Amino acid sequence: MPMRLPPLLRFWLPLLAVVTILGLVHALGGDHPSAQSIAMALLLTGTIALAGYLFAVIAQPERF
Amino acid sequence: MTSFPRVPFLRMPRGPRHERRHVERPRHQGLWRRALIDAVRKLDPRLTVTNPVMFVTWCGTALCLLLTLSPDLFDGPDAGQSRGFNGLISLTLLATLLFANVAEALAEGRGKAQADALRRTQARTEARRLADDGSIERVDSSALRRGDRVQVEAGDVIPADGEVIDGVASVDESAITGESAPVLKEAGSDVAGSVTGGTRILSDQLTLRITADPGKGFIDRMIALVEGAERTKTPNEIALTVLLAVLTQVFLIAVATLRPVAGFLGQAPSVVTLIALLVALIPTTIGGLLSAIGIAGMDRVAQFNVIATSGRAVEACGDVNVLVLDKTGTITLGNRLAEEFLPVGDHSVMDLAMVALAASCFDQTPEGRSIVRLAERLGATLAFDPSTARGIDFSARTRMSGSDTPEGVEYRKGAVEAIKGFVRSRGGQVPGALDDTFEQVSSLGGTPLAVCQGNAVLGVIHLKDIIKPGIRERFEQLRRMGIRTVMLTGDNPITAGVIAREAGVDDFIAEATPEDKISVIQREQALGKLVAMTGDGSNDAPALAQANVGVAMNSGTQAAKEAANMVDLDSDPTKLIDIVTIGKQLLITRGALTTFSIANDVAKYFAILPALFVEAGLGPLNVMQLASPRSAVLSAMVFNALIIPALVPLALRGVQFRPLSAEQLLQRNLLIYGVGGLVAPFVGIKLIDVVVNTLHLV
Repeated sequence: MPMRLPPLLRFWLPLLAVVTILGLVHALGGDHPSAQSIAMALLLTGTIALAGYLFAVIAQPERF
Repeated sequence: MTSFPRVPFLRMPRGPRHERRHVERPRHQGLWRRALIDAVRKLDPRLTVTNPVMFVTWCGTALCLLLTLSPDLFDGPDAGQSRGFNGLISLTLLATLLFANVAEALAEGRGKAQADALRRTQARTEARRLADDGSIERVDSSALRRGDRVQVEAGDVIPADGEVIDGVASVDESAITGESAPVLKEAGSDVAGSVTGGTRILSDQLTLRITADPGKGFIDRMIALVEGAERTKTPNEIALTVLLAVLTQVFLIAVATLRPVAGFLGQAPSVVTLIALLVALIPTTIGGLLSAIGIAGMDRVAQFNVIATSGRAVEACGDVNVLVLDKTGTITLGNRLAEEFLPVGDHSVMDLAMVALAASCFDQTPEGRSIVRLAERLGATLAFDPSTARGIDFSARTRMSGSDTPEGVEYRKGAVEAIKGFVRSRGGQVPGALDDTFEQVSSLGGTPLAVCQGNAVLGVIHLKDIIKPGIRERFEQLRRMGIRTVMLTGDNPITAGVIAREAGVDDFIAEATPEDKISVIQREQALGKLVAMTGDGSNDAPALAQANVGVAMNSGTQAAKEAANMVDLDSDPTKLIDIVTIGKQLLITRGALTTFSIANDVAKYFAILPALFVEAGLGPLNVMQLASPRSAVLSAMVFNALIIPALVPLALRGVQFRPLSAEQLLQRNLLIYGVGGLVAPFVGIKLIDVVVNTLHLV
C-alpha cells in the first residue's frame, strides 16, 4: 500500500521545505545566487528532509 | 560449556503423508516474469518509503541520475565531473533497488501462487437452499448468507463454509489439504461437524448451516493471508527496521558533513562519490532482503500445508520456549488398541470380555472398536439387544462411556478413578486387586480402563500405546534448542510417567482436563515463556487463543480455527514441532544476513575512503590495491548491488537449520556470516575492479 502523509503534514512540510530552500539559497549565494548555490540549497534541504524522515521511522516504525 | 555430539535434524516420519497425492500444488510458472514486473512497479517512492534503507538508496539513485544528465549541477563546469562515471554509478544504484525489489516480489509471488491454488478451489456453484417451509430453492453459491441452510449430496461441491446439521457423508477435502482419502462428516460431532466451501461430497447427503458470508469464508481468509494482503511488520522486523534507520541516519549525517571537512583538507569529493559512500555505508543488503526473508518464512510454513494468520505467528514460533503437546496423535500413534483383559476378584476373563463388549458396543472410537474385536475373538456375545439399549458417550468430565439396558443394567468402562466413583455411587465395593492391576498395566506404559456392571467391578482392559518412532530424538533436539516439552494426557499419572520417560518429554500433566491446557499455558507464560500448542475441538479454543502459537487442525471446529493463529491443512499435530523449527529458521536467517550485511560494509570503507581522500594521505588504506579512485568506487557499488541477488536464494530458502542452543548458534553465525561477510567483499571488490579495468569502464 502506498504511504500517504497526514493532511496537516501535507500542507506544512512543503511550506517548511520552501522556507528552508529560500533561507539556504540566501545564505549560500547572497542576493544574486548562482545556479550552483540554488542546487546546493536544494540538496541540503533534501538531506535535511531525509534526516527528518529517518527520525520519523525511528520514532514510529510501525507506521512504516 | 557443554558440547553435544552433532546429529542430523531428523524429520518426523509422516506415514501416509508421503503417499499423499497432492491434487493441486502452487504453480510457479511465470514467477520470474511477474517478479520482474513487480520489481519495476515497486520503484514507486510511495512504496519504497516503507523501507528506510532502500528509500535513502532511491533518493541517491534519483540524484545520481540527475547528475548524469547535468554533471555540473553542483560543482560547476571546472570540477571535471564525468557524465559516464555518474551514469555507471546510477545504473549500479538502480540495479541495487531492482534486485532488492525482485527479492521481495519473488517471495510475494510464491505466496500468490499458493493463493491462486486456493482460489481455483473456489469455483462458483449452484446451491440448493432450504426455505423455512422445507422447499428447495436453487441459488448461486455467492447468494448464500450466514445462517442459510443448504442441502448437498454425492457429487456436489460444498458451496460455502458450514456446519453439518443433519446427515453423515464422506467428503473429499483434497482441494485444500492435498489428502486424497475422504473424511467422514457428520452432524453433532465436534471435530467432524464442519465443512469447508470448495470441497466435494462423495457419498450420501448432508444438510448444512452456512457459517460464513461470501468472501468471508476460510479459503477467502487464507487467500488474503498468503497473498500478503494482511501482512504487517512483525515485532522483530520493526526492531530491525529501527536499527537500520538509526545506522542510516548516522551515516547520512556523517556523509553530509564530510564535504565541508574534505574541503578543509583541500579535497573536493563529488556529490556522486558521496552518494556512493553513503550507499556503501548503510546496510543495503539486509535492507533489501528484510521483507523477502519475512515473506519467505510465511511461504515455507504454507508449503508445509500450514496457513499462518500473520508473520507475527511464524516469528513467534522462533521464540517459543515451551511446547504443550497432546499425547495421543502427537507423541503416540493415534489409536490405542486393546491388548488383554485382566479380571479382578472372582471374575473370569470371559465375564470381563462380556461386560467390556456390552460397555463398548456403542463406542465407535478406534479404542472402542478394538475392545469389541478382542472380546469377540474371545467368544464374548452381547447379553442384550443393542437397538433397545442407550449408549453413554465418553466425556472429558465423566471420563467413562458405556451403555444402559431397558432393564436398568449399567455397563461402564473408563478411567479407574472414574469407575471407582461410579461403583461407590451405586453402593458397591471396590476390590483391592483393582489397584494392583491398574499399577501393573500403568507400569508397562499401557492405559488401564476399568470395567464395571452396575456396582460390580469386573477388571481392567489393557490399552496399549505405541510411541511414534523418532520422537525421542526430536525431543532431545528440541531440548538442545532450549525448548521444554510438556505432555498433556488423560491417562493416570503412572501410565503418563512411563510414556513421558519413554518419549523423553520434560514434563507431563496426567488426568488432564481441557481446563488444564489453559492453566498450564498461563503458568508458563507467567514465567515469561512463549508457549505453542495444537488443538482441534471447541474446548481447545480458549487455550489456542491463549497460547503464543496456537495451531488448529483443519479437521477441527470453526471455533478452534478462529482462535488459533495457524491452521494445519493436513491435521497432523506432530507438525507443531516442524513449525517451531521453521520459525527458528526464519529468525536465524534474519540474524545471519544482518550479520553478513554489517560485516561486508567494512571492505567497502577500505575501497571508497582511500579513493575519496587519496590526496589527504589515506592512500595506504587501499589494501586491495584497487586501480583508481573511480574504479574503486564503482567496484564497491557493483559488489553492493550483486550481493543482493547472490543472497536471494538463501533469504528465500532460509539458512540451514541446526538444533543448537542460542549460544552455539551465535558463535556459528558469527564465524560463517560475520567472518565470511568480512572476507568475501575484499575478494569480490578486487575481482570486480580487475574486470572494470580490463573493460576500461572508467
